[in-house]
Amino acid sequence: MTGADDRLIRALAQLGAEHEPPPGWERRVLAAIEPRPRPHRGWFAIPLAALAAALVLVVLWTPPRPDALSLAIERSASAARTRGDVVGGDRIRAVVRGGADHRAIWVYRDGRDLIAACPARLACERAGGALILELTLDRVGSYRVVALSSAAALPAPSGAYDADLAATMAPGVVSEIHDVELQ
Amino acid sequence: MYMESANARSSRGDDPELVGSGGESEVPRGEDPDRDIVRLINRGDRTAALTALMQRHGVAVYRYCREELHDRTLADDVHQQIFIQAHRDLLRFAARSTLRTWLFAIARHRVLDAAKSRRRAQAHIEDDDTADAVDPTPPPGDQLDEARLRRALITCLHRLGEHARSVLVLRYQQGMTFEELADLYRAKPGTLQARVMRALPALRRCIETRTGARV
Repeated sequence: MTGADDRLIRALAQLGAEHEPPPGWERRVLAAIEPRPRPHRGWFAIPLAALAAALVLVVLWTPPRPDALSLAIERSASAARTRGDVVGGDRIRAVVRGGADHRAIWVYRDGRDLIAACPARLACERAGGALILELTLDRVGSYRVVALSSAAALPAPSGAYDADLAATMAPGVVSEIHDVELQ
Repeated sequence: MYMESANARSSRGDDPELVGSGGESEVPRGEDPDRDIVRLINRGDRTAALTALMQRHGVAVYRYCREELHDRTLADDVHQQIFIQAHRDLLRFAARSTLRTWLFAIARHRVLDAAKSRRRAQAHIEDDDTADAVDPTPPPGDQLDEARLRRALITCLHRLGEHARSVLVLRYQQGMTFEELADLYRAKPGTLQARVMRALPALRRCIETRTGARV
């Protein structure tokens, strides 16, 4: 070990000594881990009528401020031919508009399993500034579509909803959630 | 050990350091310096344990994040995510490594994930800390002053591969022993020591080439 190496090691030890975590970070971590009432308890029981009404709203929906994150669920053309509720084999389109530079769409089934995620696992379709993920609902269950947006890069989803929930609550991350029931 | 589950979650099974060589004996070590926090974990008091963990290691983990990511905003986010994950996984801490090593294993994986997401999003690395600033040419043979050494060190550190950089930062910035690093990387202490011994001269050569001065 030379004198130069010793000096280098001392410099490495001092690296970043001037950096301090942002004020209040501990409070934000504690706030993020606070047990929250499960906001969507009972979402499995959403009546299909409410879903149909939501779909009608989607059709009538007009974009809010262009920079606000919005998530809309649309039935694809083939699925729309069959009137009424979403049925097995229907294709839906999750359309995210607005938001910051980094956006993502994660889809979970039955509040547990990640079944689709773009751009982490699949390529998102992009059209007119919107981010679109299209998928076929082929199994009975409750589907949760989560749209995220952040000025900083978003983490890749781990695959488990509970774990990923923390990411949606991180500072600077804005999220929108939409549930779809397939019976 | 935490690393096994973190490895599975991070789907980096092709990382030779994380796969480990298997069959390695456990590195003997003394009592965990964070045994007071471990006692809180064993009592099931996760929030108190997390609070103590943040107070004791929060700054060190933050500096590691800043050095590895070179992006203040991203480092702020990742830093908080690390402690949120630590809180979630605390009760799974099995004391097969020190608590600090376990925490830095989480930090390393979160940092790698964030860097990977950033690469995917083709985000640029901020240059607020002069990482790539051009160093004015000094008279040849001069010894570097502290400020120039620091600037060149940051630049050259990021020219090293991720593994070499990470081991150097954990070894010298964080003061981890080779035994702790061995737990974290699931490699033999001697292997990591050899890696450090190779990386230091490479780092010095880079600095001297870049600045034209002696370290």
